[in-house]
Amino acid sequence: MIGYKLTESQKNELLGKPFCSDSYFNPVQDVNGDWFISQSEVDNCSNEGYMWVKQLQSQTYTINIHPAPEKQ
Amino acid sequence: MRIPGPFQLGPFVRKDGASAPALDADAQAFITATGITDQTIVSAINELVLSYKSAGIWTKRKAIYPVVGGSATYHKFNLKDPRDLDEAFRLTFMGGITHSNTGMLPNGLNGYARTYFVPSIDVTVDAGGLGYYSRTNAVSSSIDIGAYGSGGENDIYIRYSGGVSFFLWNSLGTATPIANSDSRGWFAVNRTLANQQGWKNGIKVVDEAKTAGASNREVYLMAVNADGSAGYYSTKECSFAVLGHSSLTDAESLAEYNIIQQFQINLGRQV
Repeated sequence: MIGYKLTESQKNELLGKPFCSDSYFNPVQDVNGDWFISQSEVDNCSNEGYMWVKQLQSQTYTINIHPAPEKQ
Repeated sequence: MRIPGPFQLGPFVRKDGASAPALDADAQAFITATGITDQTIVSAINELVLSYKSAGIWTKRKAIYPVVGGSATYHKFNLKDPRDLDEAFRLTFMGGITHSNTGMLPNGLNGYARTYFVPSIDVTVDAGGLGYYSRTNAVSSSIDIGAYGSGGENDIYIRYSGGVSFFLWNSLGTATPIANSDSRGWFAVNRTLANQQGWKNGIKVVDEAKTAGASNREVYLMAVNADGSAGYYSTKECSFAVLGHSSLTDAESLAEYNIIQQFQINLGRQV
């Protein structure tokens, strides 16, 4: 998957902040514990305070998926 | 008969020039709140509200998300209570979601919507349900709508790994896997006293007695609230969703599917 890696302080700055009208950043951790935001958040960011995300370098990452709870 | 081109009449303009019939008050409130002016959508919303009321289901749903208009600002509104407030179960979008005229397409990585609807607070333990209209056929390790927490589980796995569905409503976390070869269409879960039922496109696919227990976590849309954290992100485009506090009879569940499918047909986005 393609995403944009964040430092811990960048993650804290973006968490819960709007990147455009009615939509908010949602940094997630990959399997290595690094923080990423998605292509969509970067492409659609129109918040003047966070335009720096468009300068981030894209890279591949693997999302951290936990096993679903047992159903039976 | 529809007149093509620039001479086409709007749905509320009569040929004799007489006043157009008024919209249903609830439909009008939604149209006013969203600012939608497209007459095809306006007409479809009005028919949707009238159909829900005629079927006796309108008062059994706390939130109805028609997902019309093509942007987050339009898609966030609850038809039942179109105030721009958390307490009105207005959606808040998180992460990567593509909004278009066909619905909301989550990226499967971090995109979901908050509903502010908490089963342990907003429904009684032996009633209620929810539903999701998916336009995407995919098998994935996703839970497409719902929440689970210490109190119980309220969610739908539309087409989980292995090609199976799970339907849970106010359940302590167990459900029978149901083989599912296509994740497109209307998927709904409902509880009637001791039993939870799963529905796909107006057909009841499971009806089983399960111990009741409502989740004390807020329901998420296009992901699940996994005891306080969003997870199991969906890749299925959502074109309609509901959250209900009352049980539906089998006849009402079928009627709701027919109403929603007609709504999608009216908008030209049915699957």
